[in-house]
Amino acid sequence: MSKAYYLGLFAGILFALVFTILAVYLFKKNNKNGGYDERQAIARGKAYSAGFYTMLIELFFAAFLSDIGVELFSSADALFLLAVIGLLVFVVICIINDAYARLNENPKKVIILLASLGLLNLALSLTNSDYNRFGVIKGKLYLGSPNIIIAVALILIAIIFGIKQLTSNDEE
Amino acid sequence: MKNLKMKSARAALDLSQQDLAEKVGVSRQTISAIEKGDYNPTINLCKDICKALEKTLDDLFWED
Repeated sequence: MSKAYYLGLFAGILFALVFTILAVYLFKKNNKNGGYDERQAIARGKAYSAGFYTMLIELFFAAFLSDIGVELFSSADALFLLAVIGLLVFVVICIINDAYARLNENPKKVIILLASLGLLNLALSLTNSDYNRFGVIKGKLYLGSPNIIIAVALILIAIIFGIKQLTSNDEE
Repeated sequence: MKNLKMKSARAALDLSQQDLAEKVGVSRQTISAIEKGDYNPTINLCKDICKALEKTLDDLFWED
């Protein structure tokens, strides 16, 4: 990888960090639970816990596989997968417990945003992928670009959230 | 245990779960969970629900 690549990577991460901090500061909710009611906050707490333990189990499993000489993914892809699977567990539990969208958040807008970001990442993965490192190489699966993992995760979340919205009753 | 008192108090005021949820500042699913007995609200939420339904804590949340 060239110096320009690493500089670009660093600049991208820095931009994302600054953008995130600004977004959190500007859109901070006055509600003590961050825009969620007490039941949702409890459900999200349990979801965070489940996501955390999922990631722990994944780490132990990865370490075990590494010890016995089995490497299924490249290191970078494995790290992204580890984080995204943990995140997916958290999100799915939140969705099941109606604790994903905030109180005044329009679920349709959330689904559109998620799907759009997923498709954007899919497009980025197609343009940015290192095609020389895509597919199974020496027994390891290379995904070319982490964007594809993020795209799949976002689209999956949009689908699951959409199904939940369609199947939940208006009045129970 | 289902909270039928709360459900009937809400129905007496012709409020939907969504209406009550908006009055109290929670989600509709939380009101549904309380009525079905799937969630035990905090005392502050109980008080807010009582105010919205014009009832006392004993009327809605005391077990007979």
